[in-house]
Amino acid sequence: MSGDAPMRIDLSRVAIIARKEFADHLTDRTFLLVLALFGILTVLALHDGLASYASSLQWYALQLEAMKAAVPPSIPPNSPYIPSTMYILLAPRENFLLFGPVLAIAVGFDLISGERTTRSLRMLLVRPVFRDEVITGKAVGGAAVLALASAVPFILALGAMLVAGFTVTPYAAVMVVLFWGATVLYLLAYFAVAVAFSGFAEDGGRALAWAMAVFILFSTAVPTAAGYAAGLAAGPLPEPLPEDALPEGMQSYLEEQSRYYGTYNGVRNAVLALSPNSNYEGMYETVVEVLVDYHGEDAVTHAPGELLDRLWQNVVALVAFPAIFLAVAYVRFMRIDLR
Amino acid sequence: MHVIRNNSLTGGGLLTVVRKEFADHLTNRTSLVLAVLLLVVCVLPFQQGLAGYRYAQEAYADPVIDEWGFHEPMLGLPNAADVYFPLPEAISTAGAILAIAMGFDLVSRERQTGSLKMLLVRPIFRDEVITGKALGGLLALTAIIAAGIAASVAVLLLEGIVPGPDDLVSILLFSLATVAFLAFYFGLALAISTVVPRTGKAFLYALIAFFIFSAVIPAVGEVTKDTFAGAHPLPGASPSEREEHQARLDLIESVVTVFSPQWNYKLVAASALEPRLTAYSFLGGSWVFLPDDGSTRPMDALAWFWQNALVLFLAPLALFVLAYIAFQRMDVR
Repeated sequence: MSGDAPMRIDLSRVAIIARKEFADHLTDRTFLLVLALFGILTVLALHDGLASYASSLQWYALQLEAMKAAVPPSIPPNSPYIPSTMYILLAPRENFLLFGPVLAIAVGFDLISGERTTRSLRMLLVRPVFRDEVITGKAVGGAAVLALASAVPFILALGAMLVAGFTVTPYAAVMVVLFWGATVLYLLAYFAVAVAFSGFAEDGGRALAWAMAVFILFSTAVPTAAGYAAGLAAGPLPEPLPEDALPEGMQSYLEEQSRYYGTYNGVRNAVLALSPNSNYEGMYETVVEVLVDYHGEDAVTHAPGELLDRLWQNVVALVAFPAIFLAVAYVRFMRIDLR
Repeated sequence: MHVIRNNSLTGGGLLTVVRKEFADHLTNRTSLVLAVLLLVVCVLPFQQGLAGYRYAQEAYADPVIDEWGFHEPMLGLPNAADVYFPLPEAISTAGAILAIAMGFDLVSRERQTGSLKMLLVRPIFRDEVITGKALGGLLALTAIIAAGIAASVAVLLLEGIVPGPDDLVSILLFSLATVAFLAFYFGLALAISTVVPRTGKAFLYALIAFFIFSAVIPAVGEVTKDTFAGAHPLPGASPSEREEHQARLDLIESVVTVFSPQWNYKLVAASALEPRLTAYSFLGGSWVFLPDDGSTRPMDALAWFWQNALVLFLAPLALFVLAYIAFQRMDVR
């Protein structure tokens, strides 16, 4: 019977490894350097965001004045709208999209290969700890450090809002937390890629090179391929009608056109769902569209259902992507031959 | 006498190292995969270039007259070199990562696996090893770019676009600028590789440098522009005030461009492909072209932006010198 007891995963041992990994990353100079660079970029982006907010507010005031002064009073075709402070809060997004993967890969690439090159893995595995506990603990520790690191730019953004004298409404806070969640998922995707290659590659450098190749693949090659595949599947665009076309012809033309765009967008989105970058960007666009442009401040009551409805595909894709790579890393680590 | 003859850099050892490094790069799976990715990334911009060429051709053959009776802005007859115009944007990221991936482990891996000691007990000088590694990598990069350019010219010919002599010079200058840009990141990775003993860390540091060059410097430039050049002069400002403001803007622009390898490369490549380019602003996002009177020649590009071209070609050399010194003084135990 005593043989059964150790078969369960002992969470305390996982926690020990996770805590050690967490502390290691947080005291690693390279990681801190990347994080500091992120901080600088965020501050610069916030500077920009605040300046452009101020100028669009000025523009708004000018337009209102012009509307009042016009005789007879008229409403311009694009009625002026109050600029949203939300864009300041979401300023860290662009840096994350392009350089977040570097942060995530930096945390993940040496997870297994580093211990193999320095041969500390053998010393670790002769201790009373199971292999799956080691890999789980390492993954949990890395994910926790990424969650913490990705919160920093958003906290900076909230701070900048307060310093600049804007009120942060509970609604804005909820939105930032939501978007922070999306960012964590996005970073996890590339973290998982780095961990998987860390198990296969002979050393950390190779693991990093492969992870960067995957990054290029999903950030540029997959979107390109999506366009091509969609173009192939949808066939040629229907011929535009001559001006004197009959109403029936018009009807069938419109139907054909909508079928064309339906196929095109369907295939394109299906291929894009493979790419974490596209999913992350899609989530940002949806969040902005639903919360900022569409519902405005009523969003707290209206939006959650609609958001969930439109985001679930992105969320599923962004959860599945790291899950697959982590599973590969797990299996690989269980079977790795340490000699 | 014997010793003196041996000390002269005869080139035998150098050539051996170059040949071995060149073959290694071109048979290495990682660099091959990244090279293929670079090619894939370039397909879409190249197609956009082709589409732009076709459009300009049609507009030239059949000028559209709008409802007010004006011609659409005359685009002129397109050049074959114009097709390459959208490429530098794509190359500046994927190419940099390819170059880093080719350079990061040249010395660090030999140290990590201990083969460097075995190499250096052979009758070969240290400087031959590092020079050979640098030249081998440079040749491999040149081969990759040459293959890409050859394939693209073949596509141009298949599409029925025949490049003229000027176009060929433009394309050649563009490929040289591209090799120089890739050599910069290759040299950077090589220099880091000689200083940092672990391969993973070496790659990571090179990536961080890439990150600084491609994101932090432009962002800093953006902020300096706002603070250092001051507010835009008001509509009633005197012409001298306006000129002064513009001069400060231009100064910041040129300094930031020189320090950002990506922008520097994009500028030199763009001017090689389109010699009518006379002024640019990456921060403001504007380009100024001379009128299309057919009087500009591809070599004029070098006259307009010779400082940028100089920096583009000398920066890799400076990095190689750093790598060279670090390698000569390295303590191998």
